[in-house]
Amino acid sequence: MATELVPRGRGGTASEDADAEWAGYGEWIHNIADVCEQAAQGNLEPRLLHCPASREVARAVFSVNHLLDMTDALLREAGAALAHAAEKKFYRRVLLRGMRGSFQRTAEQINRTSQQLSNDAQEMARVEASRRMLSERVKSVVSGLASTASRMNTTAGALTEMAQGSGNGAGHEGGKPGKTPAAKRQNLHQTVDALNEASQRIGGVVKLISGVADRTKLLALNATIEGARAGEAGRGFAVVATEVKKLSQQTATATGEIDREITAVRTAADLTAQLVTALSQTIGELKDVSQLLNQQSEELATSMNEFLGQG
Amino acid sequence: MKHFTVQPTERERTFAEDDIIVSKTDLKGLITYANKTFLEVSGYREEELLGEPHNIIRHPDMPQCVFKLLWDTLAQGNEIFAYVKNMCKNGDYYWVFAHVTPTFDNAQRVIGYHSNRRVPERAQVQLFEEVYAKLRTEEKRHADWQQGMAAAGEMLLQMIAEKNMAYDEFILSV
Repeated sequence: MATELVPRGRGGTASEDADAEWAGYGEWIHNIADVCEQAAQGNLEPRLLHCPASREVARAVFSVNHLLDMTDALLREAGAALAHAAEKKFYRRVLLRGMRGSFQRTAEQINRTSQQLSNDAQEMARVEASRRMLSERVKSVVSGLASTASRMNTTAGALTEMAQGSGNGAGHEGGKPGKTPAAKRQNLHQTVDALNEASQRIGGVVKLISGVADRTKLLALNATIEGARAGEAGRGFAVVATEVKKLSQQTATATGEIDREITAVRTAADLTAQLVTALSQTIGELKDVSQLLNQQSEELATSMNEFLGQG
Repeated sequence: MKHFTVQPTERERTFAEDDIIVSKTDLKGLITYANKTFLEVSGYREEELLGEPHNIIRHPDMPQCVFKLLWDTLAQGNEIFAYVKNMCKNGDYYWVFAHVTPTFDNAQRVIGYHSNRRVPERAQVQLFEEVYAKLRTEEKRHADWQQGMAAAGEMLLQMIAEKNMAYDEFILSV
């Protein structure tokens, strides 16, 4: 405390007695030494009080007090600024006013460091915010992809079921409900194959009919010629032959139409089979990608949380 | 209590920009140390200050609520900054930017208070002349001085709250 070191005498007044004057000096030198020793021990509280009238001693007393005041001021300021910086209150800087020389330079250095800490803290906050935003965006994209993949899977399942339904209608062995999508797709392929087979068989029958029609046409021509040679007696025969020829022409037209229909059905079946295969491949790939993205997103979230937890 | 008989003058005093006024008090606010600059600016001799209450230099233009805030903050063990208009022995005045801190012993007990005062900027002085005039008006409006001090204290905190800052952040930002 400042009152600890009240000098024993208020001496130092000019004395006509040289001995008394020297005794006064000795007393102040003693007091000054006490205060300086205390300061060297880290106790900056004591000051020299009751300044003597002697100019030389007064100057020494004020100088020691001044040195202690400046040192004390810098220590209080530096301590307060650093304590505030530790609490991220960067507005509390060392007050430069009143500081001189190396006191001032030290104060400026502390303030520069505080400013750097403040910048770093702001930069950290910015990085943290943008990482959080990125993480959120990745999560939302992945979740969107997953839901798209899931919807495509559902659509593929529905397509498979529809394909099976048409297979059953055609009288072929179809998939039972509750089978897996892969099994359903397998059934679809079987159905398409069966459809192709049936088309080919129908095509064979149509060719047979077509052949019969050609031969009938030829027979009808021969019958017409033979009817003409028979004269009046063969006239009725020629009428029948003309009717048979017309019939065979109609048959040929019909079989041609059937052939075109069958070709169209086979083309459509082949196209369906190709589409379903491509679709199921795409769905499989999307599921893989979706799983990978989900996994990466979780990993990213985990590492983000670890990073943020450390910060 | 000589200063109560002294009439305030309109003369302003100041001190060097690279100088500081230093004083220390005990827990009761009685002066235990005044540096040379303090003596020169206030016009008191060392013997006239030691052992006297620190409000010996209080100027009548200062609102009571500022000192209430100051002592309350110190009582919590915290530092405080304040712009203060002080009165010299002869009634002249001088503005300071005061930084007051508790002094702790090795056992972290508060054993006294310490104040470093620096020269404020003119703009800051003008701002607080206006603010303190409003607070003084508020304090005088109440018959009971304690009620007046409390109302003016609320007013001060309200002014600062409008700036979305705490007192210490506000005072260092002006």
